[in-house]
Amino acid sequence: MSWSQFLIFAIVSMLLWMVGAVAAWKDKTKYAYIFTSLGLLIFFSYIVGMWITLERPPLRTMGETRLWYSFFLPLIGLVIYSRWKYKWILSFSTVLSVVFIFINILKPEIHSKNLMPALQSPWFAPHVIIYMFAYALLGAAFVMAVYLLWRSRKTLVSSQEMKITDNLVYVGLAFMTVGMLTGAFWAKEAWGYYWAWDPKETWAAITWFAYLIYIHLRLATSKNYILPLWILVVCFVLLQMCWWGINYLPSAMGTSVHTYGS
Amino acid sequence: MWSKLWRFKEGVTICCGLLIVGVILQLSLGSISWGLFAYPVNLIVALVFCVLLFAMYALRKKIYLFLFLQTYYAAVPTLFVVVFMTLIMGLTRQVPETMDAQDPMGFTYMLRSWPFVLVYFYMAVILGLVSIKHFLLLNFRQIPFILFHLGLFVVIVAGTLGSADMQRLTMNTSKETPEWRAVDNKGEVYELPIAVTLEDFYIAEPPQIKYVSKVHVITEKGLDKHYQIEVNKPIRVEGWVIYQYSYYMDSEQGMVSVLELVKDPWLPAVYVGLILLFMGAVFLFVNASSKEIKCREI
Repeated sequence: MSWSQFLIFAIVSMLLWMVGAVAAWKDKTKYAYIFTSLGLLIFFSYIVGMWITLERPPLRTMGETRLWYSFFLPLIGLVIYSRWKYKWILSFSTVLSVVFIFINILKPEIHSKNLMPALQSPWFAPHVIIYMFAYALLGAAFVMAVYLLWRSRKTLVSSQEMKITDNLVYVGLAFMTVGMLTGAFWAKEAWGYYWAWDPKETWAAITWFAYLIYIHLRLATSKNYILPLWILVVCFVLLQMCWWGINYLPSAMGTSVHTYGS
Repeated sequence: MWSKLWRFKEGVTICCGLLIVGVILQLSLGSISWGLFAYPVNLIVALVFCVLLFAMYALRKKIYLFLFLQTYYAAVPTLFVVVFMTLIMGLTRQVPETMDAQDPMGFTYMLRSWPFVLVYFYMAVILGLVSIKHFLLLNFRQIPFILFHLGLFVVIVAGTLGSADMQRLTMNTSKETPEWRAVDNKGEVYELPIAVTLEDFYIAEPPQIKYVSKVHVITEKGLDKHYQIEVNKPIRVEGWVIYQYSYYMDSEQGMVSVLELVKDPWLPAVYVGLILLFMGAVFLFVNASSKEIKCREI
């Protein structure tokens, strides 16, 4: 398995997800489940194939982490759909996933086969996979926030809808916390620091506290929906900064152990 | 304003006041020297801080501020300024540990800058008070709440105060000569109760590149053992953790393996905090998927 086969797997998965999303719109719940799951299965088999070929989990480069992100988005879409039957959620998760797949097709950021010794750790795979899962959940919360803000000009946001958003943030933050902690335990084993205020870590702290603003604000003013939703949008921008933005940030360049792919 | 009940306006004002005080302290006193907090000062400070927090909690009905600090109206503005100061840190290139800040506000060495430290300190006060409150109420629905707040409190307090006691030294080991001297990042030499002799150093080839030092360790307490040290596989000897750090060829000594020795006596306390946070995250996940998380307001 290599990046050259990615195109085929990606196209098949995307088509299946699109069919699933359309089925959800048309209230064909059973087909929505089947097609989305099939797409996930095919996409995941590509990840597993890469894992076997590379002889390491595909988590090192930006391209490889995007692979997981593209996988987790429809998965979370499916979970939300199965719980709350939002017909549009699968379309949104598919669109987001397709964006990341296209970035990977156009800019795969290919890499060598070897892991640098510091990455040869049992903490490595859980750290990145849990983080990608958190990113995907918070990405779903962002989609929800944008949708609700866009719609709020016409219809009021319901407390039920806010509850879904809250839950996405809670679960996303729970995963983000575990991701940070696995990173801390790993860093202690590899470098002797559990937290060194490396630029990536500083931005992880910013993002973590920013999501806590949302949570506390929601608990403080449970009737106000618009401001928390806008905060969620800002949080997601900070999250992007933490994920890949710092690679281009002058204050972080050349100083982070987290810079990808070099 | 300042008439009961206090809301966001008061919370924001307190935070702004704190930032102004921080700036004044920074400009008049300069950056904070964490070295002053070395043992036993840090232990005393930590204990006094905890006692004061309990006292503040006990006086909450007499002094309204202490009650207010336990509300969301205090928490939200605090989180805003925490994000704000950390954001400045994320956008400012930080100088190496051995240097001093290059700007009057100390932002290039943020961890020693007064406004940053005061804001985190204020957050620690809130976390401490809220932990006490919910610990005493002991409502099982609030378990993730307590775990998160107490966990973060412990990590911040133990991590900050403990940093003064952390020792991080490098030792150049070579074959056939035991080495017990190590240097810190300022070049100061320390004599340790541990002597290390390099027995072998090799670099394993692909697919998995590995740097391996085989060492013989003798200590003053009478330990005499052979170890293998790799990147990601440090060894633990009498309170020190020894890491593979670097290597080089020397014309006289031959292959030299550079080891890093770290002693962090506060680490167990920090780990307690990290594990509390971990449990909090697990509970949050379980709770969020089962029922709504609600927290009573005073």
